[in-house]
Amino acid sequence: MVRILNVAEKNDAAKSIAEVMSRGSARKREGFSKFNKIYEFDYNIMNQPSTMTMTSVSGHLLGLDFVGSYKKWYSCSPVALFDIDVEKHCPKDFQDIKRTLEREVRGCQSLIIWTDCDREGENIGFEVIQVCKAVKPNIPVYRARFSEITPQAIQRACRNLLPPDKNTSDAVDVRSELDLRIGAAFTRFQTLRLQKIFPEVLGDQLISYGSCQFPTLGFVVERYKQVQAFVPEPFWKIKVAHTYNDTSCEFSWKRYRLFDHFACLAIYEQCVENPTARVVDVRCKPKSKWRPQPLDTVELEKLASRKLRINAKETMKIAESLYTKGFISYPRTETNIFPKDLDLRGLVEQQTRDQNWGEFASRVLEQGPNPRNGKKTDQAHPPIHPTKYTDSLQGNDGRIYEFIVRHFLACCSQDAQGQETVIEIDVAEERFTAQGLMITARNYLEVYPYETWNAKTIPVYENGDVFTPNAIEMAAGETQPPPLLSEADLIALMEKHGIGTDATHAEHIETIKNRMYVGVRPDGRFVPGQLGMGLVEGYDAMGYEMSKPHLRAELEADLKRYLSHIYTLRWKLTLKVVLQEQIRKYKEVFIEACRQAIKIDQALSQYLGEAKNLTTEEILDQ
Amino acid sequence: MRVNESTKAWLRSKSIYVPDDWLEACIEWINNETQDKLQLPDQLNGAVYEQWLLSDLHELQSPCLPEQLISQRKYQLNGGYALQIDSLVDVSKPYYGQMLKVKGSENENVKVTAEPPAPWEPKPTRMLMLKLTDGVTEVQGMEYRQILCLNEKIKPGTKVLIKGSVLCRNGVLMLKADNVQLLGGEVDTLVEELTPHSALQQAL
Ligand SMILES: [Mg+2]
Repeated sequence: MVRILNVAEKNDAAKSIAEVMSRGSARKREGFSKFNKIYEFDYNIMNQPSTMTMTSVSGHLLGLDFVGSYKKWYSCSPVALFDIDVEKHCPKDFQDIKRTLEREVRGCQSLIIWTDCDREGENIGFEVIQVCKAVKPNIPVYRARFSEITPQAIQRACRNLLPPDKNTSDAVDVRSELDLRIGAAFTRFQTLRLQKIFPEVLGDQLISYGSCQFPTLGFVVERYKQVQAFVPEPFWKIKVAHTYNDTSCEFSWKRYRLFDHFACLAIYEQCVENPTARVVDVRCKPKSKWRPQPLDTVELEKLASRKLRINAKETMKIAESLYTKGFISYPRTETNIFPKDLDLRGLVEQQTRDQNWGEFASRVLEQGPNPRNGKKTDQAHPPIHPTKYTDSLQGNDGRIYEFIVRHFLACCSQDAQGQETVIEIDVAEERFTAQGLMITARNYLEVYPYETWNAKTIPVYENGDVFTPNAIEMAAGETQPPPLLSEADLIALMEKHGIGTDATHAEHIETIKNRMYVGVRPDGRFVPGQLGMGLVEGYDAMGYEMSKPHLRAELEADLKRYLSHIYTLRWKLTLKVVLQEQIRKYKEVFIEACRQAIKIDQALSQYLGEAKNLTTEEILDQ
Repeated sequence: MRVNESTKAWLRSKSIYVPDDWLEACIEWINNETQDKLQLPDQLNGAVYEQWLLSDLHELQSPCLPEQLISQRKYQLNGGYALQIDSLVDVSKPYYGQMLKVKGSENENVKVTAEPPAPWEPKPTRMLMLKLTDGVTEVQGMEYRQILCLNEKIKPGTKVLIKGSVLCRNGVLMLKADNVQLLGGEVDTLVEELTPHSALQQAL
């Protein structure tokens, strides 16, 4: 029989895929790495019975680094890192995995890549291919494409094996080469310098720099400064209260508020001297509260952070494990439209046996699943949805799964419906309005406790009614500063400016926390630390807006643009141009940053105390 | 030279009061400038009016507003009053936000949030608050009802005709569209001194 090597991105995924394909009959044996098992089973594929060998890597198998001794910190001047050659190599930790692949591929006639179907997964696939082809140069290679680990999805992938996507993988290489050069150059430069300039505070601290990390920090500093600079202002407004048949209601001023006391007072006196209210308009209209759209990664991260208080990194870790165990579809997706061929009925059906939301799921089935689709699609994965029912999950795993299920059911049901009444009155030629809300059908809200909609009862008025209000008041208030950023706000900003991807938002946020560039208050709001503040101010003082998103966002935009017309002959060339252009830009910025380095010292000395005055030689001296 | 009584009367018909010595000096200056070519009274009146539009009423010291206007809690102002707008500011929106806008340092990022949109709030309609003077008495004018001829770009020193009847409460004229006629002009020293930025800064 033909023997085929199958490689998944993680051991969990290999195990689940093997289980699905072998219907639970796969044999397990050990590889060199104790974390990556080998599963064997027979399977009919490409029109022939075959013996499948399924194993895995643990994410990236190869890392990019500078050649030879340039990996060492004092090996060269940091600016040289923009030009020195780089190469992919296998780190020590992953040598065992590599050896397993090398051994297994010898006995196989073809190779199928089962890594995650996103661009990072495509790139990991090519690392596997590189290792395998070194042993067996002519081995045919196929790519299995799937968005979830379910029998249907896996069978479909097996029937539709494709060539792996080199273009996507190459774009990942561009990004990582650029990130390596920029990150290494700036990190070495600022760490070496600042450890010596502030030996007491930063003596042995790594002061890392990353082209996504820094704009992320920049957002936190920017908002913090906006809050600091904010000037609260007093304002005044007029309120009219009325109680009728035991129901009271407050009318709010159509002018909303005024920032001048005497202007408000003039109108207030006007009202008090002529305190008769006349109903001039009664409007009743149906009002709906929209059910959520299908879930994409960024929404999952934001909602989990806001509603479940589980941070983005933890959320994605849990979501990935739920995916590799087959409970949910692939959690990295930009799509919020359900594909037409997705069996929504079947998916809803599975949930009918749950104690809490089963009944609701049954009702969705009766009416027929009717998702409120969004507008985004990445052409690769469907929105995040449950793929298998379970009630066995504990803790945060259970909460995330429950959230995904409830969100899915809510999205497939109906908007909440209500009846809104708006009453407009006239007092001394000033207009005031009051709103009442009657909820007629809660619909999706019944399964979605993460949102509320409150009914509000007001008296019944008719056009032309005249009454004397119980009170006319002038109330004072004060404007509030914008809130400090929450994690969800930060993700929204990163998304808006194209910093990082849905796959990396959480990591960048984690990095700036770990580096102590930012801190998180007990209420979950981000504040910059002294180091983060000083670094941003120092680089900004150079005039390059290094903490602003433009520079990095440009690269992402370029890559996106070129990726949208892949398969052109000039693709390879274009990609090289994009890379060279970006390296050139950043190198220029870097040289200028070195020239003006004293500005970083100055900015930091506001927070960290006196800066030592050293020459460039003293700083570069080991 | 004697004050030209006909010009004085003509100005009064437009509710403009000026001191005799100012009018005298003004006419003399006009005659010099034009080498006595402005023979027709209309032409002379027009030239004086132009000068008045550009003069600073604080310097003319020729008050016309009744004293009770600011001393009484409530006062009904009748008749016409030619006044000067020293400054104006929109009091329907926070000054801080308006100042950022004037300085060009607005930043959209401040509005980015993952929270759902806040409950609906009525959109504020503009209410300009004018600092008015007759040169001696300062009074405020609020845009009680929309006044289309006014806008935030009006320069300090612009002259305006306030036509009664207008209710004045606590020194604030409650102005409606037909109470206000914009006459024009400006005062260059005030324009330099009172930028929109400094007006907001003061309000803050
Ligand atoms: Mg992955």
